[in-house]
Amino acid sequence: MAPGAGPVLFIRNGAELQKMIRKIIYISILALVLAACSDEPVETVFFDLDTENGVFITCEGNFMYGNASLSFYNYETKNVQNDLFYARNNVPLGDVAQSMYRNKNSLFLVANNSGKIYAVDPRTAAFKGVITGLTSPRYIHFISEEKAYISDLYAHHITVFNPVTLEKTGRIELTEKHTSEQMVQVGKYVFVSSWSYNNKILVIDAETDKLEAEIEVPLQPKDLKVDANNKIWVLSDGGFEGSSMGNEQPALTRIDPETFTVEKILRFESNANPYDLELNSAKDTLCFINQGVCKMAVNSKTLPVSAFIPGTGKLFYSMGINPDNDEIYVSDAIDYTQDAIIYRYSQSGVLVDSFKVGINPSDFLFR
Amino acid sequence: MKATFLIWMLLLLCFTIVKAQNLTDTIQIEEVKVLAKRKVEEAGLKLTRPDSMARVTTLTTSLSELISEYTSVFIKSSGRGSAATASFRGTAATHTQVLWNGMNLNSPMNGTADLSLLPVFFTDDVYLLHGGSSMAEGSGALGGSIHLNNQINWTTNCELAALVETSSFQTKKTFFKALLGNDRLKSNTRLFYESSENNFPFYNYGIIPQRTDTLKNAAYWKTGLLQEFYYRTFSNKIMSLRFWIQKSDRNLPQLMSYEGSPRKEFQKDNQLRIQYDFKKYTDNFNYHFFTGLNSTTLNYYRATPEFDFVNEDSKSRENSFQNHFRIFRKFNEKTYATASIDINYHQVQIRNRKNGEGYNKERLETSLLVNWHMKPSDRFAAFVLMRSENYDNHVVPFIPAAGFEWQVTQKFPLLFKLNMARNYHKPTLNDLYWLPGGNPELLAEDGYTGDVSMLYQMKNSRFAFDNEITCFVSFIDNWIVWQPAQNGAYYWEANNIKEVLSRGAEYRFSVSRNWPNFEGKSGGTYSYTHTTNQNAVRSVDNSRGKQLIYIPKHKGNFFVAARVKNFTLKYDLEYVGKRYTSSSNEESQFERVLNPYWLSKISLDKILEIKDFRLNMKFTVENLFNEDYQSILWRPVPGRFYSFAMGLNYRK
Repeated sequence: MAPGAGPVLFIRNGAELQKMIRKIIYISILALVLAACSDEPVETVFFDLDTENGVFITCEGNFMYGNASLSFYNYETKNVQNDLFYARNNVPLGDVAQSMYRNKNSLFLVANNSGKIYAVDPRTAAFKGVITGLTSPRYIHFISEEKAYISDLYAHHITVFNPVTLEKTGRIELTEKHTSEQMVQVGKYVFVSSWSYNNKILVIDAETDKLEAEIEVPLQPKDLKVDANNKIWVLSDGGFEGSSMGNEQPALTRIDPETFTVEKILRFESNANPYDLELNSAKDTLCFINQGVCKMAVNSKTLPVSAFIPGTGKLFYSMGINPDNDEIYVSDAIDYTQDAIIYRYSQSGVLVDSFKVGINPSDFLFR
Repeated sequence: MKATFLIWMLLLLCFTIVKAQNLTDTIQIEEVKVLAKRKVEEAGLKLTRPDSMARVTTLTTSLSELISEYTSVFIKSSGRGSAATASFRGTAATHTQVLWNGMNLNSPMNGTADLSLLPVFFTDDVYLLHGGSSMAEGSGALGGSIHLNNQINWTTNCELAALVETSSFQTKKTFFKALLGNDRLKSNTRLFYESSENNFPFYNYGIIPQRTDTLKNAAYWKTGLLQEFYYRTFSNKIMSLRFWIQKSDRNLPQLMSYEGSPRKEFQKDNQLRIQYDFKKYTDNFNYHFFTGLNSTTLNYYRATPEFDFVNEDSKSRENSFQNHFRIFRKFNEKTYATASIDINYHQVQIRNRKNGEGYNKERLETSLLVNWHMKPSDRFAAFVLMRSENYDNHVVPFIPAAGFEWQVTQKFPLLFKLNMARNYHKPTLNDLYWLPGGNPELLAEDGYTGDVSMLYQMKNSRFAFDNEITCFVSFIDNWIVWQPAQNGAYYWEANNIKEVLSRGAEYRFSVSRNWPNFEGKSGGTYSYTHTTNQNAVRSVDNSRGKQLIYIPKHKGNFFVAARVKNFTLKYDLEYVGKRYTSSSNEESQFERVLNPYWLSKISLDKILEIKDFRLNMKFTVENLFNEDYQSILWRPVPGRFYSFAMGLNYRK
């Protein structure tokens, strides 16, 4: 059949064609008008949180998605409120909420890949101020009413700022070898883990803001805690196979903060991946995640052989312990791209409650 | 709103008559095909070929804009000037294969091809093979494949074209083309240069206080040269030699919410492509052979200058040596066959100068194809093909595909098409060897796909109408996902995680009409794509059966163009439906979903022809209604902006 010789199926003449074109345009206009009408401004939501009976939970979101969020769970009423920051302030929390702290009447929220730290009112989540100009802030350590440190993954210094005015007041240079991660303080010394491609705990004199010493520990020290005996515990992840720094077994290390010496190293098996070191309220028991939640007395000479709360079938992502009753909150990231579930366990490991928060919960803050 | 209606009313008045025109238009409007006229190798395939008008109206843009505006394929782009990848039928960017004159341009390192670096100006023919239809040209395209071809115009011995465009945000584009030669030997040279400060204003909803902001660190430039030589003999042999060299340097902006110390982040891409191509045509045999090199270097750098800190300084070098030999045999008027062999060798070297990490890996892959074509009548044609492939000591012995098309009655130009295939996609070298997180145990992604189409085409001297509706279904097992390590390690790793079921429909139409003083053309596409994860085992996992993130269920585009004398007015409308950013498809007013958006574009084109010269001027308003939208979460896009282009053609 020659092209065009067949019957015209839908359109018989130019007038019909014009009609059809007009119809298409009308439909397009209608669709556009409807689309234009559907945009409504987001209304501000006002909160009055019972911060004495609840836990704040920061959710990292996904890297480069800018979908970090803040949740609050009232453990008396079991009520959960998600997206607090966005709901109250009409802007997103940012990209990767790393950690949070309460200092006086401010809640500090570290937005890691947004290079900033927000200060909000803990009861209302209302914006109070922001520290900008950072690059990859990780954690905060408060030295005094007017001085606090900010660690940074992508800087060779620690930023010093005033928590009252939110002004940056100085820097502590760490040399080109080091970056900074978690911080704990014993006496006048702040101990800082230099995690990425490093094996040092840095000792900073909080009075002079100077780097005083370095303590060598197993590779990639990350989490730090100070126990009831005033000893520092360091959880090292050991790096990864093929790393230019090499790799080794993950380890739990105890440091004497008086002498700056390593007292004990407990090595995990090479295929283990322990993370998120926490302490109970008495500070005599360490908890961490390693195929489940593991418990270890600080005086123990060996690592626990099995998980206290099994993680089978779950993707445990982070953990927090309520200092009031030692209840354990563990997040399950599910598939890392949907709202996570938080399991609330009693001190003895019995499931008390579970609830949904944002994507990839990173930190818990009680009281 | 009043202004919007006013513009609409003006448009309504203007578009009672339509036709497309173009800048430096060297392509003839194609004949409408009915089965009898179609190449037997294309019978039974779901093929989309943006027509010459689509190609020419997007001549100064990249392939991503051509595909986004004129096909049903969804383009994911981080913003103007940024990397852009194609998603066919709800699949991933790695599931789209891009081929230039048969040579695969996908990176063996990361599996994707950046469409923003492929200028439409460097192509003469672009077509898409959807789903299993891509098996006729290669494997690995679980979604589909995009084919860019160069063709020489033997009818002219001298053609010169220059084109300049200037647009908002200090964007400048220059194009030049010189076709010279005689009946036997031709040289075709094409050059382009594009640069932009890309510093557009946008309203920043990501910081406190919300305010009007200007995009920073988003400037880019790119330049390229494509040189082709063609030689044909009297005995129907055609030899061609092609060189394509291209460089680009793109700064990478931060998310709206970023308020940190200014970052210096950029990506530099260098590409060198060389191809020798030989074709011989006889009565019963056609031979096609090519050998070529696709060499790419990519330098990614990120630092915080104020902190004197370099986060990453990585450089990758990829070399792909590709060889293809194909024989097409006509046994008789009803039976044909194609046999081909491909032998490709890839080298990838990646090194992060910051910490010295990286990998050097090689991959040898071979592919054998036998494709049996049958055309027992002018109304029925079918094919059955079988591929066998080998890579990294893995053998995939049977990859079958089959399809047919059938014109139901002699009188009625209505075709039914059916296509079914198995397909698979190899893990990329990054998936296998990236440090940390590469997983050498990964399995290939394995897929089954099928589609059924109904196509109606008609044409007479004044009027042409063409439309096609297709329903498809695909199932992909062992879908590779990068996510935080399941064993608790702090880095991300690749795993075969998902089973994905994708089903939906695609529709396209085009209509054109000529009146004595007016010409008109209109067209559009619409796709419905429901693509879901089927492998959510745990009861708390709400992703089962939910739409994959960033894949719109609804996507459409529409254009209407009118030509009156030498003026052409064209209006384009593009729609992208709601997209989810969480696997459980959580709905929230707090930017958990990316809202649907409509983008309008209007252009006015004027042509002046004097003897062998043709001068062409075009003014375009992009994002006509100043739509405020996000294509990627918290990535700003420009509001309304303008461009002016002027082209001069000489043809003897």
